[in-house]
Amino acid sequence: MAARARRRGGFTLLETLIALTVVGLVLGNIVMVTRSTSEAYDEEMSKASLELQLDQTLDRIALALMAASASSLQPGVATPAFHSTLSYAQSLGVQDGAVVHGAPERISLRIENGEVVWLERPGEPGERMATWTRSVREFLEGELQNGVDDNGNGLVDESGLAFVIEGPIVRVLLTLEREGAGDRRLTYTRESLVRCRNS
Amino acid sequence: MRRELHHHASTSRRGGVLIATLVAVLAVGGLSVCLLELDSTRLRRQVASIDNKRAFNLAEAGLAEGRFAVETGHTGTIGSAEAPARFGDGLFWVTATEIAPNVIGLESTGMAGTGRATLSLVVRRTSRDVAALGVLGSQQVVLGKRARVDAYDSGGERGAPKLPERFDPTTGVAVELRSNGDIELGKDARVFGDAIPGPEGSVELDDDALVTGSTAPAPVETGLAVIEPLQLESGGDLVHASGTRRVLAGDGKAYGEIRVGKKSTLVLRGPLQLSATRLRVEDKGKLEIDCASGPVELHVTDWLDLQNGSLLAFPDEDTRGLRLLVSAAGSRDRDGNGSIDAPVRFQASGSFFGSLYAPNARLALPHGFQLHGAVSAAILQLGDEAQVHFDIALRGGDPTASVAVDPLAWKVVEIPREIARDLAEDPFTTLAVSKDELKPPAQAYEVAEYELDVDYVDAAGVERKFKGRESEFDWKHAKVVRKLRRREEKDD
Repeated sequence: MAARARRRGGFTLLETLIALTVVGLVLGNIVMVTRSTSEAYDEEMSKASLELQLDQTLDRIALALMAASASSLQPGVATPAFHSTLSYAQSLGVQDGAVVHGAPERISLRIENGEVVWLERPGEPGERMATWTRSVREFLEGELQNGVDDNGNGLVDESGLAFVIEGPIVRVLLTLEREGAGDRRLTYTRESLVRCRNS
Repeated sequence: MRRELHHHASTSRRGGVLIATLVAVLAVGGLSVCLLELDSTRLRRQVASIDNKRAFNLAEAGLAEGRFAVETGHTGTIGSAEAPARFGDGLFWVTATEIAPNVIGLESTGMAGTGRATLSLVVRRTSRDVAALGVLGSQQVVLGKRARVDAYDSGGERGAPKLPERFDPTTGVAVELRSNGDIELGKDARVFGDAIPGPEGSVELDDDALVTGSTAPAPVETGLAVIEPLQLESGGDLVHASGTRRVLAGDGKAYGEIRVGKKSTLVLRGPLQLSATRLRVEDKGKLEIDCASGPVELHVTDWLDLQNGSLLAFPDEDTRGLRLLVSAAGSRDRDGNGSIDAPVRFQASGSFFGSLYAPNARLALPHGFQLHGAVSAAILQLGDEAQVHFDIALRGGDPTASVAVDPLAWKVVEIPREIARDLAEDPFTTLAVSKDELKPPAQAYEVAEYELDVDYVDAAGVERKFKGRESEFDWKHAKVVRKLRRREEKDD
């Protein structure tokens, strides 16, 4: 009886080693699963965040251009085929039978910072500026600076923000790029057709 | 004793495992809650973004519906914040405000889910009636030497105006001579009123030419009315060259060519509607408009050829008597003689009473010709000493004519912060309205009690008429409104 009680009081070295190995294996698996799940989650979050940022920026640009007068778009011609800066004036309403326009506004790509900025009264006293998004790619997704239409969208060497003016309709193309989880680069592109509601 | 010690040690170990397990479960649980919270936040942002877009689209739908309401003679108001119109899973309402005569501001609010958007559109309502355009050259107006454009008020009575030699701007009626391009006045030409060029146009005055009113450009271009073709039975060609007098009356027909030969007279007796591919009045031929019993509406689709020496006669001298609508366009050899013919050749002598509308053609009134009523053309040219007297009694246009609604200004209206903050999960809860009790847009038009007289085309393409109280008319049956008259009901 006494011998059996002593044996129950501890573990043998072999038992301890086996237990430690099993615990190590289980913990290792847990850590690996947690890490990969966490990485996947981070990546998905980064993607979702970038997509949301892209959508919100395009929505802002679209809303601004919808309220713009088509005749106020500068440059108003499709030469060269795209522009990375667009100036316009929004319509504020009608007074004494005449349409009243707001202050001149501009949406512009700052390639050096990878930013899309909005300016009110650019170059004038009282100029206002806001950054609408960052992480803008230098060139649109799939495009290289080689004088060739690499991505087959009809534009050559277009920048990460490109406006194409077709009468009262503005085609807006935007690519955002950011470092994702695991040093992978996330790149998203959206295109939108916006019709200026004011002539 | 050993037994008790062993029992105690065993109990202690079981508790340790329990605590460790609890800690692990709590840690994993906490982590899961954090992840779920992050995920749901992202989801909420995405849903909010989608809801905002849906609300924006609903507000756009509201504006379109409001425009249609104005076009069909309603005020433009649809529903209200207390009783909005139901549309899909969301709702909208439109508030219309008359900010100037015939200038209406529409403000549409759309709500879907947690999204809310408000858009504003200012529209101008113009009559589709051609007489309402006044005196217009949509591309250009050119007045020859000593030509004159003025206005008078017939008051709906017949007879040519007694024009003063010297116009008194303080007592006289001013004309609005319009163009979407330039207006040129030759030597000694006179415009008694405003000469209004297009937004990019200007007024050029030759020596001693005079405009008594403003020459400021129009802020926006003047829109032209659409000529709606008449649906008439075919009548073949009508050639009247017997040297006699012939009267056309009763049911109108769609003729190929109407030709009035030398020393022949063709009388168009109203009420009459007719159309012709070509209308030609030859030298010494006479076209007479008899509108004693009703108006005459004449459509010419390919060629109006009033040759030199032809005569127009209007015994009733009633500016409401004739509507001559010429849709002809483009110059080509129309009579096969090898020379190019313009779509309109207007070399008749006499006077014209009525509305003359040739939106695609150059119309040159000959030397000394007098036109009473309204005239519009792509290029309007008055020969030397020609005169146009606009009858302001036509200014309101045909009250039964439908209206065109042109957009002037569109913008997004900012939503007040306190409203945006208090938006619930669905718009019906936010506005405390029952979804089932809300009306669809077509039934949510503001109904003012009017006496309605409307000609319309229903969904099956059948021409119909309705006369009665507006509240008794179901607007969803009217696909196209041909004519509309609305009178406010007066309480006896």
